[in-house]
Amino acid sequence: MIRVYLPGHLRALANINGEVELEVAGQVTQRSVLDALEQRYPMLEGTIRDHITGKRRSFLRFFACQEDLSHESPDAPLPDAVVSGTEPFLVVGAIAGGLATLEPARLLLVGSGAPATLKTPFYHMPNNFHHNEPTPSQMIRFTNEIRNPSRHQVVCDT
Amino acid sequence: MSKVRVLVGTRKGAFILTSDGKRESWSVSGPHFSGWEVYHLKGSPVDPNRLYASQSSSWSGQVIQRSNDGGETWAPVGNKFVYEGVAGTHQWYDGTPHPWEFKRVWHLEPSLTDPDTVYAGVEDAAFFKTTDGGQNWQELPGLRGHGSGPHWQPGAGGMCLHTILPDPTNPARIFIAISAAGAFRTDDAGQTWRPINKGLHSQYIPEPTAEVGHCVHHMAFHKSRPNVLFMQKHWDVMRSDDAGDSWHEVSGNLPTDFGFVIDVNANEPDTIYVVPIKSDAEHFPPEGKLRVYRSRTGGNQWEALTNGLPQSNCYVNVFRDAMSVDSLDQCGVYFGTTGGQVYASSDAGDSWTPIVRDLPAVLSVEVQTLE
Repeated sequence: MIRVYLPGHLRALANINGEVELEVAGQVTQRSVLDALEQRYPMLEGTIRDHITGKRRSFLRFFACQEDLSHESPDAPLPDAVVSGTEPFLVVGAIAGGLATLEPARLLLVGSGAPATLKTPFYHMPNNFHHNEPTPSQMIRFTNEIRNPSRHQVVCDT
Repeated sequence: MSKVRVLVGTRKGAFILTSDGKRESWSVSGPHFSGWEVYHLKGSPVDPNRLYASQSSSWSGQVIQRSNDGGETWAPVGNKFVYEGVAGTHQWYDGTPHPWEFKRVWHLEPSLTDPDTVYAGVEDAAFFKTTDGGQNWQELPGLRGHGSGPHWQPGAGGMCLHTILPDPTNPARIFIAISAAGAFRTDDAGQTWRPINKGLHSQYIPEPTAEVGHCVHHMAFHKSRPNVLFMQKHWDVMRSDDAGDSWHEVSGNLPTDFGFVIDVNANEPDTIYVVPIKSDAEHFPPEGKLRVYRSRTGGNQWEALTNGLPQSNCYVNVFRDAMSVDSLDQCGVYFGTTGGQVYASSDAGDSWTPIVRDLPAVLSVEVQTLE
């Protein structure tokens, strides 16, 4: 059973409480998981992947096992822990920032819309987010910052 | 007894305000689709409980919602808006070619005769239609296919098709407006279109009287007299007496001829309303006074309506689709602001009261008069 966790605005759209559990036939990949998700919840078509290109929408990201999978091939196998249902496949909504000083726990909560205990990945987008996605290195740097328990504050770069 | 239902789209959801015909006491429901931008929602003229809403977000794109019970419950319908054929390019802000890309639905206009038929005006500008209650949408490509399409440019808010006016006396005729391409008319139910911008003068474009390129903010007509059109342009309030074939300015004594909304009294075809706004960078009412201006002469002579509206320190804006009228004997006029207020007048604009004060920024206001 594949577990999928969606951001709050998509859970509301599809009237979903908590995680979705899906049976996925064949190889478990981003594409096969999202195909199965959209088959069960047709109203999600076009909201995670573009209708025409089939590509991930720019302001959503895919994570699993604390790794950013957004730039992986949609046909690459997902981690074993996702296939076994030990870890969820996470669809995460980006948030935009400005200059801010916030507590990491608060960031986790705001960034993911998920319970903080999930250790959900989070990333910060620069102010010109309308035009540029953050690079993978920006993502990793920021994700590492908010995971570091020795830090009490994180300053979002703009 | 008559009822009035006000449909309000905001930056963070939709709200439905209802009252009896006295329009003194209002109930507020919502937010519907909380957290999402709702650019527009509107009811079918032939089945008032059939509502359509355009819900969108930068994260997850476009969703269309439909209600069959006056907004008590909603269900998502089709959200696939695909340009017909090769999308091609229009001009970007800097004049370079830019591919046509669907961004959102700005305006939903239910058919005057069929609750399952709805027109959609979208960004990047195109005209779509559904005939199955929103499940499937098809572009009518004749508009974008007009030879001027590659020369259209976006306005500051994007290249949006924001106004759709089906002619109640001629099913084949529809007026639309695009920012910043101008106004267009079809006389064959959307198959072909022609620009109707003769008489518009826009000093900020290379050729001020060009066939296209004018930043039309909104248009309105009285349903009994659809050949008489009123337009709030980026600058100038305009009037046409020949279905858009020619326009003349009726800004008259307005304190500023910039603004977004324009509407027509439901009972008096020559009574029109605008909300003057300061152009260009400020986009708030001049002198911090929120004033609706009313002309009872179809333009040129305007009176400020201030009773009940803030007359100091008011710096809100009123967006292009955020004014509407009811059709009760004493015409009600309604508008919403970026400050989250929805103001109503039950006496044709003589006095105003906020129905609700603290919504998210209001993007659109539509009114249904219910029997």
